[in-house]
Amino acid sequence: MTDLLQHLALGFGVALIPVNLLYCFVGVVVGTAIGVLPGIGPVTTVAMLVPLTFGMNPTAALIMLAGIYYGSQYGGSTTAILINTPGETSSVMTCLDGYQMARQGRAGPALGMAAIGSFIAGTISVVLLMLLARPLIRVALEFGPAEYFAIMLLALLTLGGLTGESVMKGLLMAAFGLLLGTVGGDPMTGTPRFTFGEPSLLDGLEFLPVTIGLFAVAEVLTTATRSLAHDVYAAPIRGLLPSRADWWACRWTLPRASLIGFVVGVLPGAGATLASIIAYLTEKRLSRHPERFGTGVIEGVAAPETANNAASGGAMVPLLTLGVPGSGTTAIMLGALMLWGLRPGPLLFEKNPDLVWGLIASMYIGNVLLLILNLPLIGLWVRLLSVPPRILMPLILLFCFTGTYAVSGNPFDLWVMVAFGIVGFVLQRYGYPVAPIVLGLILGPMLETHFRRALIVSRGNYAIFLQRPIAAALLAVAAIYLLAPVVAWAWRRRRVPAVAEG
Amino acid sequence: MILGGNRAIGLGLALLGLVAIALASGFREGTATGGPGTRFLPVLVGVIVIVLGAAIALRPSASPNAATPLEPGGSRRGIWTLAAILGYVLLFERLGFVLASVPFLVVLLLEYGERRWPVVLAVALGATGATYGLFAVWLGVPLPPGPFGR
Repeated sequence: MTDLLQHLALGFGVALIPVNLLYCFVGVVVGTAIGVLPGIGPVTTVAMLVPLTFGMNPTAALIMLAGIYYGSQYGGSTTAILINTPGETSSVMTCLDGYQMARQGRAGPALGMAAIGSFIAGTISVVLLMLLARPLIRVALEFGPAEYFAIMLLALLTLGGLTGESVMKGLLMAAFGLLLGTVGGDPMTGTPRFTFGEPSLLDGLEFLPVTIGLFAVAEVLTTATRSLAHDVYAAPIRGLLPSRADWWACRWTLPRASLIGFVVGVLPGAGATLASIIAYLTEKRLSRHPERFGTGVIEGVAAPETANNAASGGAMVPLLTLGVPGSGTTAIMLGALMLWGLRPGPLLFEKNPDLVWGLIASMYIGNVLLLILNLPLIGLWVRLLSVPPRILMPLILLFCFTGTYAVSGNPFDLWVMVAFGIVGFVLQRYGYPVAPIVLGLILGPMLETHFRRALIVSRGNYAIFLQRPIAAALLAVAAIYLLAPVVAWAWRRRRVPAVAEG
Repeated sequence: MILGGNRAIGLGLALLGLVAIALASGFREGTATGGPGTRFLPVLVGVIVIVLGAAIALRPSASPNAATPLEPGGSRRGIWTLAAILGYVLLFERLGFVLASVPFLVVLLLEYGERRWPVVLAVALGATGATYGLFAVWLGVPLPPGPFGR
């Protein structure tokens, strides 16, 4: 415990340095603003802003990117409550009761509860992250290439399978990402693969132009092909603090949704959206008046908004301790860390304790900043809603191009970004999730390296993956995850004729 | 049979997997130290992509018209956006950041329905100036100077 407090003291020492405090502030403000603007999610924003961080100290940069991540979860609730349009997918459930509360003249308490719930969840998840990180690191330090291969495979399968409307489409996108990850030099021997004589491809496809293309450029193309009309909220907002009855109604919702959000966030692939759905449905199931959910009950706002913030804290656990991202946004943060020459995982805590503990401490500070900022600045966020997409979309494109060019100074990356923008637009139009592509691209070379290293250690014996207990257990979970839907489908097919005959 | 977008994507990716396997056939298969070589992962992933892509293309439940219908004028705006993007990439280094960015923004703002010229010019010039200040001045990143040195 003393050790933990010492590390936390180190973290606060780093986070409270004025420049880091400034970047934390900038991160949470930009994150909230982005969360408020419909359409631009945290993945897009973090991808777009990574180029801005290259001249910065990695600790300050990571503090800012994390601030954007959890700040956007705060901001997402504003549009959901006021104009029934979620700022991002993790606020979809908030629309159900939040908008109804706004229609009943209770937008203030709904926004207040969303902010306070997010603060409580953010704080709880940071405490849990801190407590969970050290035991996980002890386990991770025992990991060899076989275990790393197994956990990366599991992360890829779960993120591939859990995002989007269809497991098969998600897995196909993860495999597509892996295939893209094989472009460039073989990670073990340096032999060029699929480079077609293009020198810019020798180091592989850069993750940033691919990511910015798949998310930001594709988003602009999607918005351009839809209606550019936008809703404006005109009614005044009064009385942001929830009433005593609201507090009483949410007394168990807040801790319960925090725990649900954190646990779901830790699981690779699940993310904030799933956390908010599970938390909302749990509250509805446990409620004495489930029929009132959807008509404007405060628990229906508190549960999803608390859970989605807790999930963003939870997603940091596998990223920092194992180097395995738990969501699309943390996948981009992993890519950014690697661009700065850092390798997330257990050794990061030993080699760069100031970075990791500084980040954790900054998340405490960021949550306090968000609570202080969000309630008084609600009028500003509402005004931000009046920026029409016809102005916003061209600005996003300008920022994407400049940022991508700024990182490498190579115009080839602009073509890569445009190509993946078109690919992302087409894929998303037909319901194919693009986050697994990014994860496959980032994890692919690492997955291959660990796989081949394990086989070098075992002199080509594939049984190494079954002889090491942790690797075997992780691969068993991966196999169950893959086979369960097939078995369930076969079981249903067997039962239908039997019932028909019966 | 009309090939819907959903099936076309599955089929396209299956073909991509096939091409990847064909191209990977020239890579080295194994290593002297044991285990697979350069060819292993591209071939394995190529096979997975073919299987999953073909499964999506051939499964009976795949809806051929799964895409959301475009809004009126949506196709035209999409094509204009794409044309502006391609023109911007082509001119980015030739004309330089400022000279390429201002007309790029003007074209998009007009196409997206902003008809007030003072707003169009203010946004195009202001955003270009702010982005230049942020990247070239504050971060010290060299942006393409163009024929006039900016």
